[in-house]
Amino acid sequence: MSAAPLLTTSGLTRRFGGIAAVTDFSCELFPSEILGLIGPNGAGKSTTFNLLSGFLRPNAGEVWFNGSRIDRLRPAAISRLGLVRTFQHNSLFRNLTVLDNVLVGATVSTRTPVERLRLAEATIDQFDLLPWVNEPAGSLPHGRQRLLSMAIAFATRPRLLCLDEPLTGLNQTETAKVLEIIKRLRSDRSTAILFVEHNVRAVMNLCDRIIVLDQGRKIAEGTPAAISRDPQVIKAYLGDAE
Amino acid sequence: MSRDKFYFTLAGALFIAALATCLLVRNPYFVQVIVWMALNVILALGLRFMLLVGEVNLGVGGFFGLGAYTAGFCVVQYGIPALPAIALGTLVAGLASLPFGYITLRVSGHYFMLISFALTEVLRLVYTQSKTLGGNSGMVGIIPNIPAFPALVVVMTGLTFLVLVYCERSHFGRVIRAIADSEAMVRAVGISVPNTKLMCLLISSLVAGLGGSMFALANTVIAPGDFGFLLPVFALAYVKIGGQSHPVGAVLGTVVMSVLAQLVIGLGAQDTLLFGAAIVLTMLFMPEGFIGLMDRVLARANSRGTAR
Repeated sequence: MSAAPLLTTSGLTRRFGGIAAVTDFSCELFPSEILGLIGPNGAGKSTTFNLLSGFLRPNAGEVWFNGSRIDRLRPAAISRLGLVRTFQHNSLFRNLTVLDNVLVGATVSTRTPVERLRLAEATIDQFDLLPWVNEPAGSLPHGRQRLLSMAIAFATRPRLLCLDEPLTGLNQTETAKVLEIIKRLRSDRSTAILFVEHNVRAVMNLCDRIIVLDQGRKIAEGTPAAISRDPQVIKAYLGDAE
Repeated sequence: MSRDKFYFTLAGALFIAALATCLLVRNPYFVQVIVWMALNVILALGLRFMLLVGEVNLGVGGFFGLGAYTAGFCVVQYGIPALPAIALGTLVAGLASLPFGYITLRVSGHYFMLISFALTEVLRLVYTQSKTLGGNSGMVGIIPNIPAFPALVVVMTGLTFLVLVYCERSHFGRVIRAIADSEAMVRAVGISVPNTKLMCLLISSLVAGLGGSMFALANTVIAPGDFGFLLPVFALAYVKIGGQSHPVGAVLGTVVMSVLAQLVIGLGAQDTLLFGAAIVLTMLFMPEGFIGLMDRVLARANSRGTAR
């Protein structure tokens, strides 16, 4: 791609005690790209996510997003610049209604209450959550909760949406539904998506590019087709999946 | 009848009854009880507002005392009229909460509860050591210069209630309830959690300061012992017994427990036992408080209504 990258990391390193969770991680992500981050358990995917979104500070390295250096910023400040993430757990507000959940997501991206309500309703529709609009989030089926947490993040109008294992723990129907929605976002091309996922087939189908992590290091990067042929990747990750 | 309509009607009825007692009943004892109840309602509402964001703010006792001492000092030392003295007491409590919150709201949960508890106790000890504030014997002669002061207290309580309900149901209220559910997700959507909590503490403390200021003038006498840690602990009990999920719960809990306390006043210091028992029984048999109990009754009544 020729455009300037939206996100650039260089030499990103994070240690916990003596253990290096992420070592010398460098990558680029371009506007409206869908980038997958995969790797076996303990590969450092979640740590990388936390480093990018400000929930962890790196020991070394830099993160640049849309022209600003963000690796010393707080999560809320990073989010306001347009890099917004979800979590694997507790990524929504259980006791609030679906509408209230998304309204909270739209706090920073809108100026007036009318505008906020309009954006929230449009987002709820986009994520096919209209039938539950006044239900408490905690009472939703599992798959819909996952969609809701994405809707909350999406209501911030992010430039880059980071999804932390959006498919984990979902059954086949639910997985299909979430994938359908991500594809819809993808066809809009309004926002770039970075996602960490265990479901290899989903990653291969959706992503423009994939980065493979193993033991805290990037071992491969490329198109899904290239990744699936990479011997190192097969050894580290796909091998034990088959 | 809808849930909200039922509870607000109930609160409205209590408000009118309290106001009528203050204006029409000549027995000063009844009026004094009403005023004491109203002040406790304010304290409980202030404490509940921080509970919305998920923090137990036992500092409301300290800010209540700060309001009381500020208003008392204004009246006794400078002869400032009641209303500006109350305004000053409220303001001082609110302003004092900002540096306190800025430092302490970095911690949450049990830690914040303990620090806020310490604040209340430290302030009480400061009053006992200050000669200007009357030391252990406190301050006397804090007499309001306006008639019908008890009625004013009740009206201010009603206004406080309305303002807090408005805050809770505004977008700000939505964000603070979201923080109670998932702090991380609130940060992830770009909202500063410490600033929001600080704002919450400010509101809670302004309310406590207002209650304290009016307490000083209603009582005309204050002493450090009035502002110990039991004050916020009782307020917490009122909120829990009344039920936390609706603002009217704090009102109900306070009113019911205050009436009970008056009935067993002969027991002296043992009324604390009554509160302990009430809390244990509430936790066991109605964990959602009176509100939870009435919610169930309302749901049954409504389902019967639709079945017909």
